[in-house]
Amino acid sequence: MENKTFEVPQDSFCHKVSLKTDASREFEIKHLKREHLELVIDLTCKVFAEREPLGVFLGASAESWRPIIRGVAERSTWALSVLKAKLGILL
Amino acid sequence: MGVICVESKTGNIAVIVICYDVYNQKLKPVYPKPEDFSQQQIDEVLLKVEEGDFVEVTKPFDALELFALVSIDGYQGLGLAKETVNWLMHKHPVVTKVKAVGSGVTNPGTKAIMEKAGAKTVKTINLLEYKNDAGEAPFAGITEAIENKLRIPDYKEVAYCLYVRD
Repeated sequence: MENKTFEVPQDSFCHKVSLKTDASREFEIKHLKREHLELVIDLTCKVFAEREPLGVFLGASAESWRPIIRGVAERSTWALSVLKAKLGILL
Repeated sequence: MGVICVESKTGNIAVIVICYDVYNQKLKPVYPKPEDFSQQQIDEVLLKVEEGDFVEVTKPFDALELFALVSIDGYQGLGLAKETVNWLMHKHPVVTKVKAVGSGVTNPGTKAIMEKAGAKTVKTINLLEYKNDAGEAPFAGITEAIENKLRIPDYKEVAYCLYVRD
């Protein structure tokens, strides 16, 4: 669905998206940071429990997803990624 | 390397993408071995679909695994998931440096988004024919169940999608 414009600010990692169908609705694509972590884990567990097909079929609960999603989300945060990239270390 | 797409006015998260460095994961797994039966079955089939020498991983940031693409309720059907994955693959300051981005995909919508972003489907497993290590068929009957529960028609496979940077 090609219904958006896509701007790339020069001095920011925050990228703006607005819906062509409703220009008042603007969105920002941002790095996943540590301060987002708990909310991101909660939302992802909820959506996976409700909509991930294999889990829905097998009856996987949001809580059964939590240890996996927490582990991956913690490894996915921006600060950790940057540190690893800059220092070339394994965490 | 993960990203979120946030509605500016409300601050609500609309889309979440979670991903990790494959080399790092091999040395230190990103999550504990699942104890829950359903998670064990999901983990087993996804490990099988991801199995293969698709990309040579010899150092950090050779390849990333896109673990989850999540559209939050109320933000589906706006094209935001596609936009977010496109930005991640083609604009993200770290992801644009890696050779490849792979994803074990269980949802046809995610597969379509990955393919539109330039990924190729390099392997699939038919869940109706699939047997786990114990010789069981844990996904027998999944097609009808998922059509009833999630309104996804003809659901029967998981796929491994891979984007390789030129």
